[in-house]
Amino acid sequence: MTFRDDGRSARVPGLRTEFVAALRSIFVAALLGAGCGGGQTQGAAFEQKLKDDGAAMEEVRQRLASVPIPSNADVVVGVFGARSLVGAPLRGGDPWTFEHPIDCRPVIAGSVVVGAGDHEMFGLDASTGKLLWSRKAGGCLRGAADDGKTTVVSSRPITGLGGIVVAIDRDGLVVRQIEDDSNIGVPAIVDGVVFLPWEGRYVSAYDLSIGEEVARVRLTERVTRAFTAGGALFFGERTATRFDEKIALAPKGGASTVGLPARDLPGDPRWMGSGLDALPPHATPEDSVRIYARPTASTPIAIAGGRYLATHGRAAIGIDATSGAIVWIHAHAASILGGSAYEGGFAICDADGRVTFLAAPTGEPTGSVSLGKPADICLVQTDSLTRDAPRAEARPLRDQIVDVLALRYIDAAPVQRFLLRELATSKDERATETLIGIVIGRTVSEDLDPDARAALADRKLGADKMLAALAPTRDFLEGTEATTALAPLADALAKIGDARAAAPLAEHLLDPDTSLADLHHVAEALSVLATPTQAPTLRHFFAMYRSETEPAMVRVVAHVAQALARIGEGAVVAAALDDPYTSDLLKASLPK
Amino acid sequence: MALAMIGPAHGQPQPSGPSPAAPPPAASAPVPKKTQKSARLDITALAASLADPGSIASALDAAREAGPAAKKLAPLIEERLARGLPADLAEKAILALGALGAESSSRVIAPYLSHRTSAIRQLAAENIKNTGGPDAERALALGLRSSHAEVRAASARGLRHLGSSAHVPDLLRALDRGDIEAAPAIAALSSTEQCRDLVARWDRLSGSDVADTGVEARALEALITRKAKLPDDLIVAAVTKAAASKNPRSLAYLRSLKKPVALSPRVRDAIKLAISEGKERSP
Repeated sequence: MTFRDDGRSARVPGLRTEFVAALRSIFVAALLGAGCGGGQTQGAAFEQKLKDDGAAMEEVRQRLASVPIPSNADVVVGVFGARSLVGAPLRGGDPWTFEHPIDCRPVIAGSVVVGAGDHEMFGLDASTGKLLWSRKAGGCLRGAADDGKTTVVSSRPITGLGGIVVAIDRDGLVVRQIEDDSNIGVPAIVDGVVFLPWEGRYVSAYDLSIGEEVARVRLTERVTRAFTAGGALFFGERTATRFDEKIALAPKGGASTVGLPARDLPGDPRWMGSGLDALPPHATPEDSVRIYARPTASTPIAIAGGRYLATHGRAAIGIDATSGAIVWIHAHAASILGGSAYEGGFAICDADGRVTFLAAPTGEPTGSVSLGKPADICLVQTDSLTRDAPRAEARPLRDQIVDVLALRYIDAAPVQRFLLRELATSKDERATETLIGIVIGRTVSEDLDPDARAALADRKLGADKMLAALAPTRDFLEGTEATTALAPLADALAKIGDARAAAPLAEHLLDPDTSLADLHHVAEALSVLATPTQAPTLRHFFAMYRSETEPAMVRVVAHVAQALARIGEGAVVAAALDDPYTSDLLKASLPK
Repeated sequence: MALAMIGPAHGQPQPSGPSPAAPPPAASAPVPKKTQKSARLDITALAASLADPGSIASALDAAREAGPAAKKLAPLIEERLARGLPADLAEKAILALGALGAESSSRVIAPYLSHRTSAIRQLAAENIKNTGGPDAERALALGLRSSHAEVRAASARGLRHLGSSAHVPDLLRALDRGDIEAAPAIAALSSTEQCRDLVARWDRLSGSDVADTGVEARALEALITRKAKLPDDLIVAAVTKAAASKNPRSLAYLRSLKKPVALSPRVRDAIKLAISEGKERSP
């Protein structure tokens, strides 16, 4: 690969400013206008001729194999208003504050927080908030990387197309810069070698010391991010491909790659999101709808702890990384704005500026850290963080779901509907009891009530619980009321085919206070469940209402006629067909 | 709503004064005297009319007017009602069966106590007492459990009419749950101990919220006129409580007992005192 660089040493100042295409990049113009800088590459940093078969990348890997990759700082950073940054170490320590205009979303890179605003970019020590460097610059950040000596920042040109990458030392000097037509994503840096994902397909290794692309590999999975975790380097976006001894196999799909099982989740969250986005300085709906997972540094590659976390609003869902099954769910006190996965758990940061640690196996909270004030944006980075196991035993998933269903906040409906569907298909028989409680107790919002009823109607397990709920009838002296879950219980028991339901259903059929809507479900269920024991009740009902002309009631009576026919009482129905007091509408509904 | 059975049940002593407060509006068919109209009845013609959709309505009306004299028609009407009729004809059939008073009709009317149409279930509850028998008693006992107050009230009256003392415990429970219409039935049917329970709950009948129902007066009347006599102290206690309630209907009933010959001197004194106090308190 050949950069159209003039080959100057990275730290040689005086790069020709005339190379800068001002119209394409105010960002770079501002940087160079400051009179500092190193080598610059513009136009086509990534030569199309360079081989992308992974061989050169394997050479780079071997060269870096003995270089330890430092841990990233375990920190939380919040943005408040237009100019306040507050950070706090997750391992304990006082929060820090840094005031600076903030025009786009900051990023955390290794041990540095990079922010930009008011035509200036700055780097802060992530643990202390101390200003490390600042530069005149514009544009918004896609991502950054830092190896303790150099910060590499990837920015989106104001046109939205192409990519700009600058490498800045601790003195604020630009040691290398790239401007390219290709979309460059979030970089990583290891021992002076910058890994740049571009065009969603390639990762190039760029040696800062010589200002050249020294290797390139094409990945079969989409790649817009490079990142380090647990002392390993990864590339990806929807999957994570580890930079290991299999990296040369990447073009053929043989690299160490881990993804998440496909499954429906509320809001369709993505794992890492596109590294080509430059996010705004305020929260977006997508911030609350995310997936957090951590690839392992060990072989074979996997998702750490076998769990990943999906968030939606105030719900955090722990999911088995192999099967995709929901393992636990955490109802949170405030909207979740950010998070990070660490070995053994997840850190979630909310709009109250609080980071809560959740144990990966159970979802039980294991502690928290507060920024001390609410957050508009919250960024969390974890790497070597560990937390003690939770003291409390995990509660049953069905109870955790009830907690989330009880939450009331804007846009809660998608996750609550999703959880109701989960309850509907749960193999835990007691999920039936939970759903009955939800329907009877009206613990969900009015909008979700139909979903709760539908979920109960779809249950295939827990017939005994259903029968117990169906049994009470209205009795003034006993002070009992019929269940408000009559319709879904009737539907479910009919689908299950449990004839034990016929007797209580027959009682509800004759109850004048059974609503017409419920009555339809009761009669329909009896049409498949009734036994000869219910014949007197069915005959009474049929007789009392066979003259009805109200269409909804006629449908009910027609179901009762079906029930009579099914239990050998067809003669009653046949006689009604010849009787002048049977409504014409019902006659038309009855089989001849 | 007129109470169909204001006053004592059949065979019980009549009060010496006029009947107390007007009970709820009548829904049951007045039971004609046996001799009325029987000479003019053409049972065969009526039976034929009952089979004709064009004349069934008038035939049911005629049967109702005929009352017990047309009892032979009961099986025909029962058969029609059991097979099902449109709501307007079902109402007429229930009224007719109530008027005919055949015990066999109870079984057919009973399901209609839980009909989805309020008017029909109320008619059924009011009329089934006239048919009598164990089916009627069973239906009325179930009626006490209805979620509809009008059915419960009619059931309480019906049980009193039938003299069903076995259901007094349920009537007391109904009273405890606010069904004041159970009180006259309890007063009429209860044992001495059960009656003490009623008197202990007397404040439920004398509250301002139920003053216009006349239920206190009717309960008082049932206590005083019942066949199975109660200890004087119980009646005196009830009279005293009624006097304290100052309910005009209750006082009017007590005043109406000018010559309560069947009452003991102690009870008479209590009534006199109550009337006297009522006068003093009158504006």
